Amino acid sequence: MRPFTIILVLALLLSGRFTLQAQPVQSYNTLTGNILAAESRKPLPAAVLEIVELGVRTATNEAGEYRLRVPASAARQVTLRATYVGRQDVEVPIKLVADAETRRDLQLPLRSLALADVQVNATRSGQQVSNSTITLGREAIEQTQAYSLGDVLQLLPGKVLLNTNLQGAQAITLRSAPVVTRGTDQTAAFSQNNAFGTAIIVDGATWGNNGNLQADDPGRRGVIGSFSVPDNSRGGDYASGSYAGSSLDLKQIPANNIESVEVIQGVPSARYGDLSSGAIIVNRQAGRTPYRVSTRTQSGTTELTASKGIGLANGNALNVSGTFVNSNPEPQFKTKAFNRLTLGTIYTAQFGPARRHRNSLAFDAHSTLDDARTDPDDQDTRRTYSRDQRLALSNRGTLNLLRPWSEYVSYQFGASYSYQDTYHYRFENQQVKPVSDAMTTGISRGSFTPGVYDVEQRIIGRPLNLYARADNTLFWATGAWSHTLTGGVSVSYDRNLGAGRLFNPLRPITSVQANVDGKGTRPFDFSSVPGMVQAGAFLENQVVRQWGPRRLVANLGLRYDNQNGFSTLAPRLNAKLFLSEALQLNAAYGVSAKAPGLIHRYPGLLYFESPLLVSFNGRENESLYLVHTQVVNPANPNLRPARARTLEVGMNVRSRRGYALSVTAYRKQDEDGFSVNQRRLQLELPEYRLASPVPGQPPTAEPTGQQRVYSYNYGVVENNLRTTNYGLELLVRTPKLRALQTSFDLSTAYTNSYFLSAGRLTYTRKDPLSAEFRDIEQVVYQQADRNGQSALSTVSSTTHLSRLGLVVTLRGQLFWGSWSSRREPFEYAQGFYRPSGQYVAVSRAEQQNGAYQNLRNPIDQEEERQPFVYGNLHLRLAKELGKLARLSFFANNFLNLRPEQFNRDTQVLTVYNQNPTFGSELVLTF
Amino acid sequence: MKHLSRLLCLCLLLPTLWSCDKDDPETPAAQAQTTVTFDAAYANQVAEAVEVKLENINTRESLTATTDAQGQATFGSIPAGAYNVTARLEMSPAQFLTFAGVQVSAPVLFQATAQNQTITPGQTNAVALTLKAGTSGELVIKQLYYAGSDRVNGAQSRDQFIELYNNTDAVLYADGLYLAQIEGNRTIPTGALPGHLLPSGQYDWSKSIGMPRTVRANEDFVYTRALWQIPGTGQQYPVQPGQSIVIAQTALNHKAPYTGTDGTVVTVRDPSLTIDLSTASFEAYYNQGLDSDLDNPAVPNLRLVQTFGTDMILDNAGRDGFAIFRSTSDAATFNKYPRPNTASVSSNTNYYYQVPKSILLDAVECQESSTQLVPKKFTAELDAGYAYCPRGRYTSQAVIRKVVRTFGTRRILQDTNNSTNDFQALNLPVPFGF
Repeated sequence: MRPFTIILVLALLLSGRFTLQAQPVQSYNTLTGNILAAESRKPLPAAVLEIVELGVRTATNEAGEYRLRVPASAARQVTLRATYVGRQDVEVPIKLVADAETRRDLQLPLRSLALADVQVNATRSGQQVSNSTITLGREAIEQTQAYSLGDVLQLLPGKVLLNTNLQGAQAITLRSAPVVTRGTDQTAAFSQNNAFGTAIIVDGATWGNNGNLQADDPGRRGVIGSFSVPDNSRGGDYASGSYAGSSLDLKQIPANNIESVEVIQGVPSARYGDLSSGAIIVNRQAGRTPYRVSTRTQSGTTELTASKGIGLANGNALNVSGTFVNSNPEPQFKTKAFNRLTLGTIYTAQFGPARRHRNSLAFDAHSTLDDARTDPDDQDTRRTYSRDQRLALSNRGTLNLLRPWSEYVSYQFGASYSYQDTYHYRFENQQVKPVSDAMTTGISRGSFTPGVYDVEQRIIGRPLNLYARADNTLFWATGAWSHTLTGGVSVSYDRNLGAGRLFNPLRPITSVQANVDGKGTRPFDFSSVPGMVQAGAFLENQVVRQWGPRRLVANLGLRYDNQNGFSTLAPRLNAKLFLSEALQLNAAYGVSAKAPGLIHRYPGLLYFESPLLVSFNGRENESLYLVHTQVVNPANPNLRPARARTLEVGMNVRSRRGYALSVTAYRKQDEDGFSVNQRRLQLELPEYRLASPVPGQPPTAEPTGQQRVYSYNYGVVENNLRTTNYGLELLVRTPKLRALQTSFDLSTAYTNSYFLSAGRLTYTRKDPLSAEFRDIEQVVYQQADRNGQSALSTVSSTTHLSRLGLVVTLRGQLFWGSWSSRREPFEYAQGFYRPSGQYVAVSRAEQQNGAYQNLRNPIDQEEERQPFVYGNLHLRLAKELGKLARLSFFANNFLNLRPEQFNRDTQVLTVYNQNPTFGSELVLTF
Repeated sequence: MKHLSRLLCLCLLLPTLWSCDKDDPETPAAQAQTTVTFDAAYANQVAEAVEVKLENINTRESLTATTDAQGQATFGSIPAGAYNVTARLEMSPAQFLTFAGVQVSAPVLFQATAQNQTITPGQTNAVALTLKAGTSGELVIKQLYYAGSDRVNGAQSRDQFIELYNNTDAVLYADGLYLAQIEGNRTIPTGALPGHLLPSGQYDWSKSIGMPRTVRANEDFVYTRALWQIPGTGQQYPVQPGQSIVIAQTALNHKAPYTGTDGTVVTVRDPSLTIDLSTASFEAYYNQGLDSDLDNPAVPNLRLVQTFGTDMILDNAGRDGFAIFRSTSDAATFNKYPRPNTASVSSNTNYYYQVPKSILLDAVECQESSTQLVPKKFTAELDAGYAYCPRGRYTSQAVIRKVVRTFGTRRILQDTNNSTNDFQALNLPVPFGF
């Protein structure tokens, strides 16, 4: 299938080229005009103009003038859209006149609730490159009263509206139904991969997480987990907020200066690489905007933001934005309070002949402001902090060359540098324990901890990311076919320069760090990990053919990625067929590849400690700890990129009066996802016994002549995970019904996910009493395949009284159900290891009726389903007070709908929906 | 002349008559004073109302007397000679309870003998008799320290120990004694009881997989969560009357557990909250290949018959039951069963040994507090009450049997099979002490 697709795509791409050479000089129709601010009639420089059907765009100069060239033989009837930050988009139909300039002036009004139409929901226009792209506009972002990008994304179909949780990192997963049984995500590794494979692109720059090593050793722990500090059940774990192996922490992207968000869950354009689940494209405000100061508060969290777009000479602009968040969600646990500060500036300038070219330089800084915190009620006198600071510089621009071989060239390069410091100090009151700091394989003498001591642990990471990309766009038409061809290259480099895991193996934090299943702690320097380079190139052609009311828009792309020496050739095809202006059918198919991060490729060395003799009488100089250390490198040099393959079909219907219906069905297959697989290490070591002790001296040990087998498990990151997701998304929208002044929006998402893992699972025999198991050391099982399904509908009614400047949104969510099961009851063992290390395979028949019946894996609950359909209702209110202020209020679950279910067998009470939460916001614009 | 000689003979005879009257051919008479005391086990106190018998070795004649309040029985006039002296005192169980504070099932016989005592006239002839009893008895649980000490300033759960005591007057041997931590439901059930619990809230062991229908699983047996055995060949570990043995989780000085190579001593933050167990009699060493436990080479290790967890860890809240017993067959061969709420048996099901109640020598039930009572593990004849630490967990409190009698330096502990009455709380445990 794949080679054929590639050949087809290349043929289509190149067909245009050959025809072009036979053509005479390209002729264009020109569209020109002025874009003015509606309230002041002042010209708006750097406003963006776009011909929607063709994807052709340009920007106005400092006089507010624009000039668009459209290939003459392309469509005559087009739609022109003008956008400017802080103002409502305006779309008008244009009939192009042949061989003459068509002039059209537009006025853009300031965005406000006093306008006739306000869009507070997620919309799917069906006009973007990727068929099922969902756009969240500025009004929708304001209406969610979001603290960060994570809250904004709750508007996506199928997402549950949750209270803002600023504790810990926020990640996003797209189009997946995780299997959650009794509150635990059984498919956590899959969700982590899904988040890792979601590219977050802010103003063209990918804010990635490849260089993040801020986690405990996956080889030791068996998972790629954040370095969190357990709290001994006082208010739960204090999450350090590290998110290695997952997506970037979405709280680093504040919502206050986001102009719009586009979420691509289907087949992304070929220009986007290093992703597998999808892309979230954030466009921030750049241009002249009034002063905007806002304050928001909600259950212990307060946010203060300010932003301004300063107009400079020659149509340039400088946007400055700052956000400060103070959060103290649980005042009785002081360790959970924190402060965050985010600053951003964007300088846009136009240069070149007629100031056609545009360049935008962005600088972003983000920092946590907390110092070490101690909870005075904490018995272990812990001090802990987690610092996360990030600096990013990004420069992008467009050169409007207006040549036949290049309509415009766009380029971008930048760097980001983070400083991540997770620190944990604790007073240890433990038994004296034997420890060793040997770093090489062999038998050595260890020492003992004093039992009562102070210990510090720290992980310092400094991920660095450098990237550059450039692409060239040209368009031409051949007959009724118009082509917009874009080709580009990109390269990125990730490295971590931090000092790494700073642990003293002779003073471990025993409850957290020391000796997990035989593996001791050792320091690990992140700067010793080599950097990784990714290179990519793409070619994309948007072909448009119009005949009568019908139009075909096909976006054919091909992307080449080189990640860790693995090459991927990925086709990306999105096709839309407009049978009329009202009805559109679409289909898409694409492949994408996500490179493993540094945490997957270089998890760090493992040190297995096997105690051979422990003798302690209270005095170190009369005691002996003889230990064997085995050093293992669990790095996997054959780690391939994770791949995703998506097939999508859909239909969009739009009525002239404003009703819209969009149906999309998809099948998404993820392969080679990253997870930790268990491996077994077996050592045969000599036994020792104590020779008679001499007072005042450490005792001597002599070998008994016997050997003893030690077996351990450790983790290796492999391409284990495979997921197949099927889903259906339905979006229905009504216009504002005049009688009610209300518009309705319904989105329903159904997802069916199959999770398959090639990883093994081993159990150590627990009860040494059973005679049957005396000869069994470890039992080996395969991981179960799981299936999760969920169906969720969100209905929202938006009542917009434009004369009052009031919007009331009632958002209801109906949880039809969630089902989860093990696809195949993987309760039968594959075999077992004897204490001698010998492996014995066991057949299923022997486990059903024969001698090994007790090897069957206990499965507490094979299926879990939501016991009843339940819902939730949220309220949002926004009112403009004159032109100066806007007051918003929200109440989640304001009817306190909290159905309960009590499971008698497990004695567990499950309560659905969260507590009612209220918040308010005041925005001043001047 | 003839009449005068006859008169002279008569006169000569007269004195003989008188001398016959005065000169009696008899054996000499003597006195004997016997003093009867108890032995050192009863602080050598004097024994009243004891029947003392003197048996003449030659004539086999015996004389008896009863001792008075000073323990003396005087034999005023007895023939001198060689005697075997025996003393005998029989106490009914009620009398023995009053005397010694110990409950026994059969009358107790105290006896003493002194062989071949020569009773000489003209001397005091004191005979000392020391009574010895043939009481049979066993070790009892004297002190339980499970609460642990302060988590920050003390030693957490590391300093837990169990102390066993010889409450009898004869030497006993600890070799081979089993110590068990009893399994039972540790949660207070609320609402309707699930099917695997009895109306009392305790596990219904008759529902366990594999339990035969013919045994009375709940009435006749207890089930062990952990089981340890004191090593020894039979007479290696004697326990004198009034002495005890301490079984520690870890036999170290928990006040100052570590002395470095340069001699610096590391103590816990507040050594006064914990105790020194480096002189414990036995310790539990769980050599599981991981770093969890330490072995003090100077202290013998228990034999681990059944383990639960990584060390001999007792429930800090005190929701355990403890028992000691002896068995001629190895307890590891006893039947074992899973908990009654185990639906199906698999490779990580836990099993619990079934021990008949008839062989238990002593049982103590512990609870968290007088208001938080988990279902009882022992029936009333084993322990009608419960012991608990009023201050709660991690407070260094221990429970110890009350002293009911003191005989010199030997104390006798109260054992009425009712721990509510028999035990009291101590603010700091005193291993080997009171």
